[in-house]
Parts: sequence; structure tokens; C-alpha cells
Amino acid sequence: MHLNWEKAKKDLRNIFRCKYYRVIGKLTYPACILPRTSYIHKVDIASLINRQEVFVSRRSNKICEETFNELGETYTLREDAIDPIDVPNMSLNLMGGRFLEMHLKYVTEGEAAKIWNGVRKIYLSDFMNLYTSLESFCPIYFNLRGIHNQPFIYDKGKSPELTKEMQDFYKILRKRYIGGKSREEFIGEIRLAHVPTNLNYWHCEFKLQGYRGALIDRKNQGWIERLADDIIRNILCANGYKTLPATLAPITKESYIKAKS
Amino acid sequence: MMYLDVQEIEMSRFNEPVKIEMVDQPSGKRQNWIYEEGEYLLTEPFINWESEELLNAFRDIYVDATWQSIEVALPKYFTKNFQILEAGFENELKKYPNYLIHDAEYTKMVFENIAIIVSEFPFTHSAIEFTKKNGFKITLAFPKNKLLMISKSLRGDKLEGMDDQVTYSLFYNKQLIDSDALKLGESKEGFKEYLSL
Repeated sequence: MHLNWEKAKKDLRNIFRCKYYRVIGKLTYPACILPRTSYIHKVDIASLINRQEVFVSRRSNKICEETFNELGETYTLREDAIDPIDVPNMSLNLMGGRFLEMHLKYVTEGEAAKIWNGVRKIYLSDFMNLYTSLESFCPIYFNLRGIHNQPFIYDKGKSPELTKEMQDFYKILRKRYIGGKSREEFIGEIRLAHVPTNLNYWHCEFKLQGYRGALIDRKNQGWIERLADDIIRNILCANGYKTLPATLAPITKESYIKAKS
Repeated sequence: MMYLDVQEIEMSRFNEPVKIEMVDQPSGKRQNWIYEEGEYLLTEPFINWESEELLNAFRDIYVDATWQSIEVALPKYFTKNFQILEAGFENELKKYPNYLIHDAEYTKMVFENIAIIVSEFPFTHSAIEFTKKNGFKITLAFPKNKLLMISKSLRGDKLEGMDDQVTYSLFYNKQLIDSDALKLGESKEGFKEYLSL
């Protein structure tokens, strides 16, 4: 009973503070995109894609003319619209739910941008100075049909660890390992993962899964930059859109709201 | 007279084919490329030589050569396509001259060498972009949701960039079908056939 009273006090204080800050214009962040304890911690992206067309969005800091190529009725993304360093774990927003284009202008930082643990009740008033709002930006939409589960080929240059791994693999297969190559090629896969943050339930990331499912992470290594360039050229440029299709079906509530027991 | 004229002259020397490709640029310059068994003999073209003049010079070198002139048949849309690509290049040059790795004249010459090949493809829309890192990229849209992206790297020595070595990415319904590096001229007919289907 004591705990509930404490919770109720915190809820009321949050409501009062948010109302007050909104009136004086100090709070503009949209409450509708916050994670809620009634939400499923992580949306099952694979089953969502099986059911419907899925788009994600991202903000380009360039003007639209410098972000897209126009080809009649369709668009492609200009290669320089995305920085290769942003490709591993690229930040995105799942569309079709409560996240709208106008929410793209908010940039979170610190605790606000940290991953939501699925149980924490989020009080917007606790994150007052942890976001900024951009004046202008150009939205980029990606159609996941041409991106999710797309394979890519990459090489990491010559590495003794990988050479040994390949030799072991070939031994098991009773095939002869032909060494001496300057590079070893592997096949990886790009996937969308739902990674809700404290101030944005709809936050997602592109994950690059390499050999044996190892995550290819954000590091300033030459081979990752080459891989990121390939992904931009071969996967992202063709699947970048200027607007969302008018026929895009909304994400059903069952996909993100917990079933009542 | 065509806006841009391409002729090929084939010679044979000890039964080995030697080819001269003469390209009249819209600028009025004539480039003469000489190659043997698909390999360019010289890394730079002879500029502004008349074909007779060039052939006479070659007759002196290849005394045993026999030759014949072949007029290359170009698709009807070739000139229009080339003009569209060239306008796209000029537009990009106006907007992003700071993206150029080398000088504009050299970049345009390399671009035109690629554009001459690409103009034979039956595209419906095109986009040209300079890329900060590499050089330039030509994106072409075709009927039946086919998309072809051709990237030309201009990194390194100027002479290295003069050939038609490119990286392409081919998409159907925006999904990648194939991506590779190749000499575009050698695969031109294959691309034309597939893209016309």
C-alpha cells in the first residue's frame, strides 16, 4: 500500500510537471512515442515482416535535394547521404505505429538514448534536458523488403585466427584448404532489430551479422568501412524512399501491446 | 550528322585483330582508341586524327595489315540518352564541383567514355551523382522495375581511370540481383539484351 502511494505521488508529480513545462514551452517532446509498461519489450520484427510491408525512417542532415536522386516516379538515395561509419547499428524508427515523421526532429542524448529495459516506467519529466529539436531535416524511409535478411559478402583481410578457423572447418569437411590468399571472404546478413530506448519505443537498429552470427560492430577498421560502402551501394541506396506509401498498413496493436492475462 | 559519332575500324595483323575505335565527341574532338584483343594498346587516345591519317600511320607500322571499316549501328535513342546524361553531368558539376577528385575536364572525359556505352541502354530515367570518396555514379531506371547503378572510381592515377572499368549493382524490384566489377564495354551487349527484355 505504501509503495502504491509512492508510485501515485510520482505519477501525479510527473503529470503536473509535464503540464507546467508544456504550458511555459519548455517541454515539446511527444509523450506518445515513449515506452510503456503495457508494451511488449521487443517487437518480433521477423513475424511483423512476414505479415505486412514494413518501413523504417531515419533523418538525413542534408537537404532533400542532396539526399535523393529522382528517377521518374521513384527515388534512390545518394551515396553520400549516409556516412559509412553509421551503417553498423544504424539508428532507425519503426513506422506504422505511433512514430510519425514529425517526431524525427527530436534527438535524444545520455540517459534518454539508453536502451529501455522493458520494465522501467518512463517519466518524461525525468528527461527534461536530454533532448534537442532540429529546425530542419530530410526524412529517409527504408522499405525492409529489400533490406532485412539481405546477404552481403565481406573480407577482413588476412587474419591468423580466421585462417585457423577455416582450416578447422575444411578439415571437418575433408576438403583441402587452399591457403595463401590475401583475403578471406565471408557471407553475412543485415537484419533489423527492435531496440527501444528510454524516450523512443519505436527505435530500431540495423544489425550486421557476420560469420557464425558474430555481430559486426561500429569500429574504425578499414574492412568495416569497405563493407559499409558496399551495403550503402548495394542495399540501402535502392531501398531509400522520400515518402511513405499512402497504402502502408498500420502495425496492429497486438504486435506491441501485451496481451491481457 | 549525328550528335556523336562512333566508328570502328578493324584490322588484322598475323590474323590477330587490331581495332581502332573512333569517337567524335560533342565538343568536336575526335578520340581514336586503339586496342588489340580487347586490351587498349595505348592508355590515352589519339586526339583529332582523321581516320585516313591514322590508318596510313598504322599501315606503316603494320605493313602486313588488312583493314576494313565498320560503321557501328547505334540505337535510335542513343543521341537523346547521351544528351540527357551529359546534361545530368553538367548539372551535378554546377552543384557539387567540390566533390571532384580530379579536374573537371578530365572527369568529363572519363564520364563521356562511360556515357557513350551506357547511352546504348534503353533507360527511361537517369541520375548522375558525384561521390566524395570515389568519382561518379550513374543510376539508370528501366521498364519492368529494373535498376542499374554504375560507379566509376577516379581514385589514384589519372591514367588508371581512363578505361571503362566500373562497379555495377543491378536491382529488380529494388532487390539486388548482382554486383561486380568489370569492363563495361566488354559486357555492353549482354546488359543491352537483358535490359531490353
